[in-house]
Amino acid sequence: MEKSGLVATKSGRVKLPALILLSLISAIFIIVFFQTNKKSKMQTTGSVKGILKNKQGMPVADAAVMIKEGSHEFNDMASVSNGQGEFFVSGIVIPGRYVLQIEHSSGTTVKEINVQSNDTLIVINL
Amino acid sequence: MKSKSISERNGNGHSHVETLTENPSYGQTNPSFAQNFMKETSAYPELSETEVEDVEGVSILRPGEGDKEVFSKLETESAENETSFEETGFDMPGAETDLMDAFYASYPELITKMQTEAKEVIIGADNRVRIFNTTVYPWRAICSLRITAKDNSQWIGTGWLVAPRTVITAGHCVFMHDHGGWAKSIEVIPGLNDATKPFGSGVSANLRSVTGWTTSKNRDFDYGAIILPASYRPGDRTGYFGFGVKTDAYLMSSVLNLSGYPGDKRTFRNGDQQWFMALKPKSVSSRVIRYDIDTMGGQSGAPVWVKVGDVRTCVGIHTNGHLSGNSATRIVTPVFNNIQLWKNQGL
Repeated sequence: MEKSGLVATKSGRVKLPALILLSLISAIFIIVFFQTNKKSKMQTTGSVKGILKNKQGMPVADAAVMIKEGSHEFNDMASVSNGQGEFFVSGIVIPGRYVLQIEHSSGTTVKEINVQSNDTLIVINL
Repeated sequence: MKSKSISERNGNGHSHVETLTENPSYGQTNPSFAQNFMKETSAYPELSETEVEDVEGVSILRPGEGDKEVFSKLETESAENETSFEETGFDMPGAETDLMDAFYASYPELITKMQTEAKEVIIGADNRVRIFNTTVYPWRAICSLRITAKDNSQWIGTGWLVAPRTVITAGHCVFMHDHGGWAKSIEVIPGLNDATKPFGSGVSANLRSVTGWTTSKNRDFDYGAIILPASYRPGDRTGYFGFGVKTDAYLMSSVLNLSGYPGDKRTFRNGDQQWFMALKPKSVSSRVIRYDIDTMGGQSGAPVWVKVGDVRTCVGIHTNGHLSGNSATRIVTPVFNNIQLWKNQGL
């Protein structure tokens, strides 16, 4: 039995209006949608800067820095550190977790980094 | 490796298959392959039907604009329109013997051994093979790239010759969104072997890519090119790769060869080494080929090719790494057309 948009049982007793029920479901859907969308929009691609230092705290130049593993897909380039020991990890999804491999004059160093924002500065002591 | 089922539809499902007319000038050594060879032309450039990354800073282009060519310089160079979807490579006969390192002249037995080890076949999982002799084809047509970005940051990558002066590579090797856009300069070193540059090197800032990469930052359009100066024509001596559009089924049944200059094999301050591996792909999509071939930073832009007899055809440009599979930008019709255009600019 249906009357003026109201949902009724067989016994004729009226339950919640269909419109209110529909509104509730829509509200929940919209909240979930915007929460999900907000979460995904917080993710971005970018580049972060790092500095390589040796045991004496001096910058390490000409080292090759590359991503070995990552929580997201990454470009397969390698950055070469400059005279100030500066390097970049570029084209990565932020936030994300990445394992860097560094080839330098003293050998190979592997470091895991957790990048939370574009302005993260990574300092690696070799 | 467990293989995935192959979709009978390619990309957006609007593909059609037609028989390629055999061109005797291609010099196919396997007639049965040539006779049965099929090529596929699909409506790939429909960006609306491809995935767009859900990240900030990505703008959506109108359908079909993704493969629009863009330049690092303002001048426009004319080029002929081509209709073929298979472009043959070129191996310079006789160059191999002339360009052997003096070391190999002293130890000729090593040449046979190294060439045997470096055959383009399926090799064991996670095993890269070093190319010791980079003066033979096709290894000499693969180039180490030393990239200086606009902000003066330094990078290493890989590229491959398709013409005397045209090097194909990843879009992110020529245009770096987070480092000033177009690279300031790129040194191209064909066949680099530690400190040895058997074909010298050339520096260029004459770069190419497409709007799908430079504007949209879309991984599906991550490809580009370097046009070397007229004074440096390494492809005349090294030969160069062919490239072509292949179907899903063809790719899934093929062994993919990949060789480049990984940063983890770098000789500190003494150059780079070329390393090779081959495997069948894990999957193919309308714009990307995925595989378990081991790669490391520095191999961006490396050629991904199939070999049938003496014919080598590049089908992808290596760009990305990930635990779920490393990947290449697939050469589909619009990509093919742009590579063809850029090839003509480097003749």
